[in-house]
Amino acid sequence: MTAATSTYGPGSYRDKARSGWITAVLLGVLTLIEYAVAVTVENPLLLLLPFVLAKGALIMDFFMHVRKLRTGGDH
Amino acid sequence: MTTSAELIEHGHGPSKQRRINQLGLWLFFASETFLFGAFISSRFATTQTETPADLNQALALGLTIVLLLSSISAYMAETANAHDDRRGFKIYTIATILLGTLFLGGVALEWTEALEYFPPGTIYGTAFFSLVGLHAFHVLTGLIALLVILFLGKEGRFGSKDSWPVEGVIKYWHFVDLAWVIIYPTLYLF
Amino acid sequence: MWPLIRGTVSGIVGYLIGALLATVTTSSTFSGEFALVLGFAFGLMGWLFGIGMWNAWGRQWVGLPTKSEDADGWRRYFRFNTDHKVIGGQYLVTMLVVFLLAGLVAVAIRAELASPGQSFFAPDTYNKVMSMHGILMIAVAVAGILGAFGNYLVPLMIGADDMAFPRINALGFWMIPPVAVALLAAPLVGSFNAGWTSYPPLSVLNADGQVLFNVAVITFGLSSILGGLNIVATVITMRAPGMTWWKLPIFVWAAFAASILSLTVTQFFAASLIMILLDRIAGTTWFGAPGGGTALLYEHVFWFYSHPAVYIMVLPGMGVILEIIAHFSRKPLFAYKASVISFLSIGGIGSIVWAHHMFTSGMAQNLEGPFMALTELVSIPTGIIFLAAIGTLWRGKLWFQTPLLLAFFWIFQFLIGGITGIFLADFVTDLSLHDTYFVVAHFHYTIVGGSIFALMAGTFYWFPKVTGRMYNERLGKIFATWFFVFFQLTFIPLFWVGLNGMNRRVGTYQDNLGGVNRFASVMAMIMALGFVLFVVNLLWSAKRGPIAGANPWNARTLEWQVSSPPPKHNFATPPSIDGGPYDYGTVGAATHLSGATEPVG
Repeated sequence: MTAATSTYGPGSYRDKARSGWITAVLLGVLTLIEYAVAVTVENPLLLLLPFVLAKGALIMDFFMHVRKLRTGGDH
Repeated sequence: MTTSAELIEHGHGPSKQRRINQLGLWLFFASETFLFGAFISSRFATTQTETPADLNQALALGLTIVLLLSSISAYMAETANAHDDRRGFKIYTIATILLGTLFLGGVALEWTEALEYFPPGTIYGTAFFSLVGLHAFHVLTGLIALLVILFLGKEGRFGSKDSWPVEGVIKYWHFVDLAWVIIYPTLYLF
Repeated sequence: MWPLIRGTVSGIVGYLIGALLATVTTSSTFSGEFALVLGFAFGLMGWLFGIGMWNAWGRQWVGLPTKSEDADGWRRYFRFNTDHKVIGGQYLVTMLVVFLLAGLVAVAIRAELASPGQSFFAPDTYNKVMSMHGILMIAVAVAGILGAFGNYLVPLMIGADDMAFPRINALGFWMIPPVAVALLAAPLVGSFNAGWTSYPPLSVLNADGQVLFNVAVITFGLSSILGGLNIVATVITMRAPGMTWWKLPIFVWAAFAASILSLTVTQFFAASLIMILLDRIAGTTWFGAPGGGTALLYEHVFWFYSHPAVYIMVLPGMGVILEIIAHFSRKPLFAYKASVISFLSIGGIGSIVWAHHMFTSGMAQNLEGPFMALTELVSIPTGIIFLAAIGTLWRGKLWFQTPLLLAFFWIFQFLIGGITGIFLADFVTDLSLHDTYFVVAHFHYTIVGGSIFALMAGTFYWFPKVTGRMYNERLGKIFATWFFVFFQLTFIPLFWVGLNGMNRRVGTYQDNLGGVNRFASVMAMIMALGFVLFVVNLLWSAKRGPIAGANPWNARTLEWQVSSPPPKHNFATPPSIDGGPYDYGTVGAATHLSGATEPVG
């Protein structure tokens, strides 16, 4: 599952849809763990930062195709 | 942002125009990051990570999940459009719009509660209403943009041959989601 | 004229709808603050759609074909025209008019300060006049070079047919008239008296005119962001074949560095002004101490933009001056790559020095040392720019025309501005110099010296390209010298009165400083008079001046390889680039534009 399989790269419609849903499930799981950590730990700032970074990276890469910026995202 | 009119104007091919558009949109995101950054850093500067006990954590988590769901439906709308799946594009765009509206409704509900427990006149309320309001304004503009592409795309005019308008709007929607990924812990969890 | 009428009418209608909406939905009165904000927002949209954004752009959002708003002849300057050269011209004329207007306000300020007591203005009126002068001049310095020359020249210099986003470019310019209207209409609702810096708590408590100031400046910031975005995208994507990064003319690099800054940090100015609006209208308490807020926060957010803003003003100025010096010395630009790296690092370091404006504000004391050190670090890349200028002049074949003369003056003035800056960056000396006329003199040397003199130099240098005619050289030199001499006579005394404790932002001062101030006031008025020469020269030459030809300076850069004024899409065939832009007198150097005739050097 790389950026190349999301939306515009080579690969079938099905593959791309599946990679999107897997990303979404990952984001959901990360959010729930993030929430669980936040309500159980005092001052969770440092513990939560990795979650924010991971979620941000997932969204930028799989949903926003940031890597396509270099090539222009041609079909 | 740009379609065929500008292609002709510039006299260069669609692939170069696409690259220019993409770069322009990302530069816009970079700029917006600074706007959100100003408010997020001001929240920490005034109140550090302090949160009131009356925060409705369940509602906030629900809103976060709703926005996440709207993200995957936006992704699916974009993918469907890129593969000329007109029905899929329509269904997923409508789903995204509904989820976005649900999010705004949730924010409105939260605000009525918040006005009671931590009104704008308190320092946490100041950060809360400013940040959530700024984000909700972006959601609103995103919804308008989604309505435009839904309306324009109902005859199937985008598809793989002219996918940029859809791609641009969906990217913006993801950017608004990305902003929430940071605002949510900033206001509720840290 | 029709688009202007259309825009004005729909702008007014928009304003009424917005204000009415505010009155209906909230307890705000029709002339209340929320009505002003919403009215301005709707009025701005109405104006933009009316002036031509609807036809040229908006129609496609509802599935209709767009109609071009471009026109020919003088009419195109009054329309939503997307040609970058038209937009550059619109910026240049607008900014010169605003500059002259703000200059007249400065004359009023000097008239008041000619004697120690109160003579023309009540204390509050003085603050309003001074605030107006400040914000208008800031606008000129921010959008003068970048808006006018950035738009006109960047596409020409890199061999492109237009900017990357022509319609965003037109949108950015047409946002400016509503800004001017709001600022000039502010006196109707009590004006703004908090200075262009608008520090709370005053800016939260003063008259409704402050609200108009805020919405106007936020809009101006948006225009500046869109302009910056456009230049960055253009330089990255629209360069002609062969125009590699290290072959870009130095002005393009300077505009690029300044545009990165205006694209990003301008949002902090918007944020700080939005916070003030929220405190005034929505009842938040960002800056209200009773609710737990702090006014110090404003200074941090505000200066995070407003210090880098100095570089948004000065970097393009440096670019213009280096450009002129290279062409008029007939030598390759000295330390070209080092200058480019300096531009970028001035932008980078300049973004993390903001708190040197706040040494006396009561901020955390352990920050003073680091901010002092970082601030003084900026003088290294700035020094490299001076080195590049002087290294290029060294043993060059100087051609003393007005642009080069102004470039010499620029070097002198910016040097004075830089050296006096050290005393302000050093927090020990700043404690006594802060908020005195020493600061006023210092930043007039940097901003007028760094930005306005370059704007003048660039106006003369590119005048033949824009109009196709030559300005009057003798008049140009007289004006340049006049401006320079009386500028020194006005502002050097102000260092002295500042050292002797004269405070800024107040209309009265100690009696013993009266004589020097009267001298400075008279000199300032004579300086202002000199601008008659400037205006007459340009207006007369644009109409009657001798035909200049494509390349009157025999310069190598691309904008001089096309006719004057350039044709609509700049280049008949897409240019391709061989040599560098400054290889004057180098044996065997390829021409910059392949196939062009090598100018005599």
